[in-house]
Amino acid sequence: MTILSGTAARAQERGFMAQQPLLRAFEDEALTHMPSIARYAGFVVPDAEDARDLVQETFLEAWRCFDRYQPGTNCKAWLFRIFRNLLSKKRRKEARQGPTVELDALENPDAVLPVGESFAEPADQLESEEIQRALRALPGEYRDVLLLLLEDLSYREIADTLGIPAGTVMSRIHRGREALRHMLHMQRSSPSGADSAG
Amino acid sequence: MTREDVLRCIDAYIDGELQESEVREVEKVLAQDPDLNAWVRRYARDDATVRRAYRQVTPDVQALRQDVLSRISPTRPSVSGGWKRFFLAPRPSFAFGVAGLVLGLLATSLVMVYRQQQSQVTSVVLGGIDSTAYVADHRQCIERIIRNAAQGGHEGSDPQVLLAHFAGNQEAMTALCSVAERGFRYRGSVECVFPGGERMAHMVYARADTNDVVSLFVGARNDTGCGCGARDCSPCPAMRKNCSGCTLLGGWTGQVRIVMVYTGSDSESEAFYRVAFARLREAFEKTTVAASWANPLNGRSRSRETSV
Repeated sequence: MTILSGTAARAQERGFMAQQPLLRAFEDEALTHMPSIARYAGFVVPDAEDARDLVQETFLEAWRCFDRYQPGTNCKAWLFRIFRNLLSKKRRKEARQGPTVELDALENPDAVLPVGESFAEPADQLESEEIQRALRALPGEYRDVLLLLLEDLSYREIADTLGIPAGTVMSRIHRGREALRHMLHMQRSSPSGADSAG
Repeated sequence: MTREDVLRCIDAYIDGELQESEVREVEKVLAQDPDLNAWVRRYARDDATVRRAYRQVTPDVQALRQDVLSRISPTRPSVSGGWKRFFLAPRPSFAFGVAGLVLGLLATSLVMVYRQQQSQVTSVVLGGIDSTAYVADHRQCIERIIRNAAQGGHEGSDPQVLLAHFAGNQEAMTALCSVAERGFRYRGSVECVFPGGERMAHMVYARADTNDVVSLFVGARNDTGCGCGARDCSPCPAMRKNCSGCTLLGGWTGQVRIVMVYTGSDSESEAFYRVAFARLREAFEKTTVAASWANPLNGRSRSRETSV
């Protein structure tokens, strides 16, 4: 049986006490963003259980490297970067094990939106569920940027999170919005030159 | 800038990603082209609808949060031979320990009573959404809006600038105004200047049907530069452009805190402001605060020094 010397025991106690402010900072800075990360996960990970696990893993990972987080920077964007890294890792692992059906199905809007269903109402009359369904059904590259934008990340932060150039973020946002409008049949008469936008 | 240029940067415009000078250029073109203006407004409105629909998804993360906390909370290290150490430990330490325990229990019970009183006011925010999460959710948006205001050559603390931005007249306000979309309509804002130099913006949202009120307080210390050590860390917003260390909030630098307080219809009650001040005080770790303000709901001016 090992008995810690008095000094070692005190050092261990000091380590425990030293973690308390860090834990509180983690709660204040990081855990407050859990609803956002969980919401985002719910849109990009088809299986609810997988999404939950990824969110949990994100925060455990964030805690492990919280000493590397710089106070004053955007913690939410930092958490999204961790989440995206874990998601990429998960997808790579799944790809090695074989193709998954759900992700491919979600890339195809017709698989989710019934053909012939009318979305002719103005945007403000559309049911929220329909918009949420359309967001889920967007092609992955558009959905990723749009959802992060809806989470109030700036273009620069989205670029950093997804590891793509800021110019690509801009074009994907525009095309993503167009795709969404198309899916919801929200196309309205656009002024001449609108086609050249983006 | 031509209409084609406007269409090319329409997304950056409604997302608040343009510089103030570019925004002015876009708005100049829009003012001269009613068709384009109407189309842009519809485009922004559609985007706000999508944003609102997305924000309606509010996953319940309480269990998950507890789960994470239980896994990361450091447990007191178990020390082998603890009993042996206990008996060998000098008595004065033991006496101090007992005294500390008693004081700790007393303090904990006081804090619990205080928090319970607070939570009665602050926890019933926006249909069950956790207020802390909500504010955290909006902090980036608020900061970005006021930062944009500052880039126009104005100080973000200028009440006129704040009013224009908080009043929802800017397209970039759509995300922040989602609080209004939840039934709480924007009623006004006012800036409080604390004697110590701190500033606080108070935005008031109220529900017409119940007259419930949500107040968003943005507080900042009036420091000069953030002390990050960057060469261009300066009180001048234009010079702070490349400073990544600063916590910017328009012309407000240094520490910035945002708190949100919910109350029922009695928005002028003592308790309402006590909670607001307590939250800000907690945020700034001060013991007393004093402020003067005008209630935007009825325009009455007040001043008070409060110890919390």
